[in-house]
Amino acid sequence: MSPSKPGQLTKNQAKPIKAKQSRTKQKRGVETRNKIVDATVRLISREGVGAVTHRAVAREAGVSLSPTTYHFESKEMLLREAYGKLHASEMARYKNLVAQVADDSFDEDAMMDYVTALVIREATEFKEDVVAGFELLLEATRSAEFRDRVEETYMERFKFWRDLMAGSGSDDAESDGHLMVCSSIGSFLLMMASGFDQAELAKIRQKIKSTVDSLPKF
Amino acid sequence: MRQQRAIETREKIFLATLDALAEKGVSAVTHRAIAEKAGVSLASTTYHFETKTDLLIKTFEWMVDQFEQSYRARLDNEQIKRLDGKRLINYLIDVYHTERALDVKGMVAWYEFVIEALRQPELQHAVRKWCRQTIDFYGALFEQAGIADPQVSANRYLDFIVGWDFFIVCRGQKKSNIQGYETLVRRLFSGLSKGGDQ
Repeated sequence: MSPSKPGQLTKNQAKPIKAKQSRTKQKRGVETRNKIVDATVRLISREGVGAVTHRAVAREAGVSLSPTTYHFESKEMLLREAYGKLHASEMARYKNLVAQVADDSFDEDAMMDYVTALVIREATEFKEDVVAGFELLLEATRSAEFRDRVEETYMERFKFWRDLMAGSGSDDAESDGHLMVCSSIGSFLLMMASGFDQAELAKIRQKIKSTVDSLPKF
Repeated sequence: MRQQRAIETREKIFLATLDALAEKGVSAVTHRAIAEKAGVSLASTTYHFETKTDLLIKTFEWMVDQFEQSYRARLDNEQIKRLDGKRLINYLIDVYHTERALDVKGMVAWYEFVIEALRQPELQHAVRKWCRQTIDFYGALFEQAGIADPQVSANRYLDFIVGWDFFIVCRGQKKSNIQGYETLVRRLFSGLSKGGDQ
């Protein structure tokens, strides 16, 4: 049966196109959402949590205000999503390292190489993420709802280091785990805040190794 | 008289900047906002500190100078002479408990500045200078107490406390978790001074 008017669809023709439109719309919706979250991360990294407003995020994402407020009712939601994204990316980056540590066949030297390469990449390639991450953690001083995230972050890192220290033969892996979480964050933050050059990057492996070695393991 | 007023104005501005940093972060630090907070004229803030960067750096330097003074005040020359491993650790724990753990505002402001230095290279020399001064300060005490490799050890101690304090501050802990801190410091030191027991 041909349509009565050009361009007018029969009932059966109309349905599948409507469904397709809805899928495309959905896809666009997800894309827009992702754009907004990514933009939030960039904004936090560049200007801090204080700079995050729906308007600023919309501008950064290159979208209008309405999808921004539609997807994220409040600033807190934006921050939470941004943190979630950062966290997921970070976990993906550390995944291999964590798997190696969990694996029993443990080679301390290879581990040092791995950790060193990781630290260097974090400081250079993933600097934007790192800065935004620190900002969001510090925001927990002002906003109680972020404190769970801080706890989570700490515990994840703690478990990683504790297992690493236990694998190295530490007689008190718990304490050494705590020492290493704090020392690694502290030295990393200071290194990045002081500005570092190639020469300093080259010395990282040495520094990590001597820190781990200096722990009273035996 | 004028000089005295200038000093007082500067200190009002420093305190206001510290507050702003702690409350809202670097984005809240503008000449206008600080002038209002400090109860001084906009003109005087721009007179004393030409740019926002200048204001941030000078505030940071003032703040860390205050920290150092309070740390030094807790150790007179006699006590320094008698320093050994055990007394050193007690001092470090005491200072943590009385100076850092209770000064949440100062600590938050410190981290706000340091994190801003990750973005703004102009702030980095101030952080480097602080690192050197602080390592020298601790290094001198460590040397007195007979800790091996005092400068390296001081660096290691600094790394630890910067990380520890960061999580304490972020968690918004009211209690300073002295127990935890003490355990870790003792363990850190038992690794640092090999040979020669405390």
